[in-house]
Amino acid sequence: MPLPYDLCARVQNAFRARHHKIAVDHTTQNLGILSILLRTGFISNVTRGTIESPSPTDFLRVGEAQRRIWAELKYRDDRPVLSDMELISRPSRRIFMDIGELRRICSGRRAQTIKPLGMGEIAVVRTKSKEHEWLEAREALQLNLDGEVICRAR
Amino acid sequence: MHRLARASASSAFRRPPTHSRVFLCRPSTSSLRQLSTDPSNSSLPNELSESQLQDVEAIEEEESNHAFPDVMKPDPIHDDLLAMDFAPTKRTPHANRVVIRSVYEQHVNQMLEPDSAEKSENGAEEDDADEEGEVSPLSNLPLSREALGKLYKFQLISRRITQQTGKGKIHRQYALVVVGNGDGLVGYGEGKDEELPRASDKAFAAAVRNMDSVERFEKRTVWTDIETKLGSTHIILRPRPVGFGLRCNPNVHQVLKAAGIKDASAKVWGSRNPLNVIKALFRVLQAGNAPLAMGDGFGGKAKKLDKGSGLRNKSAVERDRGRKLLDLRTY
Repeated sequence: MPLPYDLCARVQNAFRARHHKIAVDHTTQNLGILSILLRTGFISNVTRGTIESPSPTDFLRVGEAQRRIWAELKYRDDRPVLSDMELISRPSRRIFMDIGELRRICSGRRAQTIKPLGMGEIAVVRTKSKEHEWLEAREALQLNLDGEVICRAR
Repeated sequence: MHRLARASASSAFRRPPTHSRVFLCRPSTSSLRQLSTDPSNSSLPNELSESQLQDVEAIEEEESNHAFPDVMKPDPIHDDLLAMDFAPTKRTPHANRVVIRSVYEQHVNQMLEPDSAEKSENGAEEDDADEEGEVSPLSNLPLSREALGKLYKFQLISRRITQQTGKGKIHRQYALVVVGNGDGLVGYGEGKDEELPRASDKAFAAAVRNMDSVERFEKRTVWTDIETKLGSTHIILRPRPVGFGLRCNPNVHQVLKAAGIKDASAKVWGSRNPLNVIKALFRVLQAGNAPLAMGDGFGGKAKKLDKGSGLRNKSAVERDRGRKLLDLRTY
């Protein structure tokens, strides 16, 4: 499975290059993270599709290698809505947080050398729950689930 | 005794002004389009076609309809003059007359009371100019004098600068002043002059013109941690709780105080050059209304001091995302 860094880099670079839509590999990881970005308002549309176009019907006809997830990017007042998307947990140093530490970074205090979330910043948490695997940090707090803090976006 | 008298039509001094001389002549083919007043051009062409004759007649009709001045009658504006008659005295046994063709109040006052006229002239100039005739930099500002007096101003940088010319070194004083109203408006300005107080005044005027708004949370602190780098100057600003105060670099302290930010902590890494610290701080504080200068030729190159989107408040971010932001801060 490709690193979440791949998705972070594609999304950030696409926003800076003012692209309308991007296509990423069709994986549960990418689907989970893009769903969080959609819920928090960084992107406006998430669709399954192929290399050619974001068409859900074509998605069903092609093989696994040609399948993609398309995300439509948001801009307002000539500014991109998402300016930075960075990894927090890296392969060389994994970051796992419990509920207390998650609460600290959500409420403006440092936890485990990780800077707190600023105003309008989100963090993606991957939990061990089957139902709710990919959550935003504040959603994880509400559901009382902890796990690996994958990336942050603002 | 002399008396002021208006000249009458029968005055012997009447002479028609030379500029309004008009020669009624048939225009030549070359000068059909311009109404020539030069008498040397009054030669008739050898042949004129019928259409050209008609044109000429049309022009003559137009000419007759125009209100050219009749120079035999006096014109109330141009021929108005002031004549003063001086009766013969013991010392000057001849009758003298002074004629003023363009009448100004000054002339009249001078004639009547020469001493008072000089005083009033000087008094009018001193209000706006100083000894050398220059205009004060504090004039022509968009705020009234009262409003200017209420502003918080602080001179952050003052130094002697030198311009090396072929004939030697020219030394001047430079001042950078930060100005703010203590309630969300702040700006900085630079001024140069031979003397420091005048340079400071120039800088103050420039700063007042440069004032721009700053977004504040609860009117006392910044919204979020903000970081920026300008050259080698790396600065970070953090929001802090009520009553914390301003714990930061002295230049940052004065700018935030002028802006009306009361609680914040800041750190400057790398170069602490005052000018760069101030520029970096303004770049990161002032959101501005215009979008980023992208530097693709439309609107010109990207400018270093326009980089970043500045400090944006919660409602702006909410509008961008189309979502409400949940605030979980405990202080």
